[in-house]
Amino acid sequence: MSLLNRERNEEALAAAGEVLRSRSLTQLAIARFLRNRVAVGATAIVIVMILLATFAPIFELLTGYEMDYQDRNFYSGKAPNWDAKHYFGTDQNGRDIFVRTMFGMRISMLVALVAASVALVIGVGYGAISGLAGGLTDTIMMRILDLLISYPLTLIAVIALAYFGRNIFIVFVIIGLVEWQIMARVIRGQVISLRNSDFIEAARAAGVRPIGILVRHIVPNVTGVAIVYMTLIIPEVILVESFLGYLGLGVQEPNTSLGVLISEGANSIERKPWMTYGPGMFLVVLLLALNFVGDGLRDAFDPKDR
Amino acid sequence: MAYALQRFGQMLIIVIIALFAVFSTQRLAPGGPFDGERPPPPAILENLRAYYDMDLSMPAQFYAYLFGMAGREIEANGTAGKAHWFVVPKNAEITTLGGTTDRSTDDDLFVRRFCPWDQWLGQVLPGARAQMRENGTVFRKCGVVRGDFGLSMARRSIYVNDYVRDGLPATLKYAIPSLLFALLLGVPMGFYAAYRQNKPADFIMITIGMFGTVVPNLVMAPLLIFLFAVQLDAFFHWLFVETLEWIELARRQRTLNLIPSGKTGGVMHYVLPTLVLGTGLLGRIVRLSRAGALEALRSNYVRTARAKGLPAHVILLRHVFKPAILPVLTYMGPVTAFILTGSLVIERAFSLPGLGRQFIAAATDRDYTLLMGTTVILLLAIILLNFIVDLLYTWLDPRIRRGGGRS
Repeated sequence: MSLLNRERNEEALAAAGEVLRSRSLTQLAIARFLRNRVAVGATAIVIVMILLATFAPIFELLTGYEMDYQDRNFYSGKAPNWDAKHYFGTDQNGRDIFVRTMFGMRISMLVALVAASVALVIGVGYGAISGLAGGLTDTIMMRILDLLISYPLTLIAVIALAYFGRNIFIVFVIIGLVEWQIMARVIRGQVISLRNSDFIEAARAAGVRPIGILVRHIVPNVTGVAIVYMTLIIPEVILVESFLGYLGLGVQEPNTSLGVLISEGANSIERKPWMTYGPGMFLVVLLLALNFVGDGLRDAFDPKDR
Repeated sequence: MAYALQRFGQMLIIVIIALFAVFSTQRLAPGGPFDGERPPPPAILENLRAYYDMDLSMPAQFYAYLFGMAGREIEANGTAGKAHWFVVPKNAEITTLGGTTDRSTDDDLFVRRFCPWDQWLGQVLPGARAQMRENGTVFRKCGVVRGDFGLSMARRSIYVNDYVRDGLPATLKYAIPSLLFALLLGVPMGFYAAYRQNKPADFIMITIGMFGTVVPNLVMAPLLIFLFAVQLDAFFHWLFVETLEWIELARRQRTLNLIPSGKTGGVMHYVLPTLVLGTGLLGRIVRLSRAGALEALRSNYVRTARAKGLPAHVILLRHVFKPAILPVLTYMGPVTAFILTGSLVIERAFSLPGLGRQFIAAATDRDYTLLMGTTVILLLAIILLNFIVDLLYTWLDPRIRRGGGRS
């Protein structure tokens, strides 16, 4: 009976040929992600926007307007004019809004990347320690996390930025400090399920110290989940950054960000609505695309959560 | 109840820690409230620092801020220069925010303005009445615990209590309607979407939810102002006045009055701020309640109820509502945070005289007392709402009622 089965199996395998090659979990996840058309489209949009932001100086060359240049011929807040190459119009100082939007996107994305990395480091560290330690430490750390989630840390960020200056590195760190809690909670869940697995047990039996287990075995295994949740944090970070910029606490002139541009536009929305259109549109599209990418990645890598 | 109280106690501890953190970091950070472009002379600076307890150690300052005493001996004669007492002559004018003036004539004023909570507790500071009889009204700091937030540091003739009294209603009157708007509309929308899963209605609800979460309120605010306040008014003017020549309407009310300005607004002033603040919340609540309702709809007891032949609305109300509302309730803590940060945006966008604007002004001016006052109020609002949510949670989720027994 069993012999027959084996023969049949081999026959079936031979018949299937290459179709039945084994695939790793990551490959399966990528295949699942590629099947999600919305997420793939959103990824394309995000990539285009990253390229636009990265090569923002090119638009200075193409339009002939530098980010800080005040166009005296076209002075003081004119509506979009394609002949003059002011695609989004100019602000009240005669600066080209299209070029400024590209540069603002650059800063927003930079902040998003660095601040999300800060959040990643804090969240993974906190979650891993809490999950590994277990017992009372875990309970206390999770209780603190529960309470922190209900507090508007963004307001603390407002205070901190007002007091410690508007240096861009401070913006990075402070936004990172605001957005790590969900990451910590997810990582803790992962770590707890890993903690009871056999290879951790083996490492422990072999006498690896806890710090070694953390660095060698836990962190590599949660990397995938951490990166997925990082893409979910990035839109939040962009939102916080634009919020701070809107309140006049973000980056400073001559640098600009999408939030700063929207805030400038909002002040004169009745007379010069085009000042808000460009940056607002880019911010909304960016956030929408990032949200779809994040959701798609989470669905692909974590199918039980669907 | 015990669970909710326990949570309340924990939150209170966190509030005190958070207050101390804000208190000490703002004082340790570089710069101070008195070093502007034209700093006061050294002697006055010394007096100011003494009045605001800034010459003490940090824990003593915090103690003084909470209880108003600082462990200093309180001199009874109330002459100027003593840090904790100062005298305003009888009948002096005190200008409050909003232009009203008070006169420092009676005991009542003293009690009402400077130890607001003593009035309720029925205890007036010992010796205060005698002081008032001799010297006019005597002002003494009584600390945050007794409801005295102290004088603002940037505008030293205004009490933080006045800022709070004027600002808090302005914040709440937009925060509460938008919360109600989001809850009363979002939960039914989420339930309906779950009930008609994968139908066009579901798709519409999901799209609304997505846009609510993605379009930030700082984009929504200028956009709505432009669309509804500027363009729509222009359109109505064109339609009624220029085309239909309905002059009577133009004379009676020139605009839709959608921009909150001045005090003569009425209901129309609530529309735009509530929409801006509410849609962000609405999106999140729709998504959460839809997810919760989907899970409840798939459960066995709902299938049983269906098999029994109960009508749909009974199933939705009796079997789905309670478990499906739980994720929404869990989210109420972050909702408070969202409303508070959102109200900073709408106060700026619509120029509303709320607390959020004082909060930002205080942070940028290094107005320590005003910043602390607004922070205290915000934290109190948060723990109060969380307490209510915990109470609701115990009511809705029997698993939390530990040790058995009702509440």
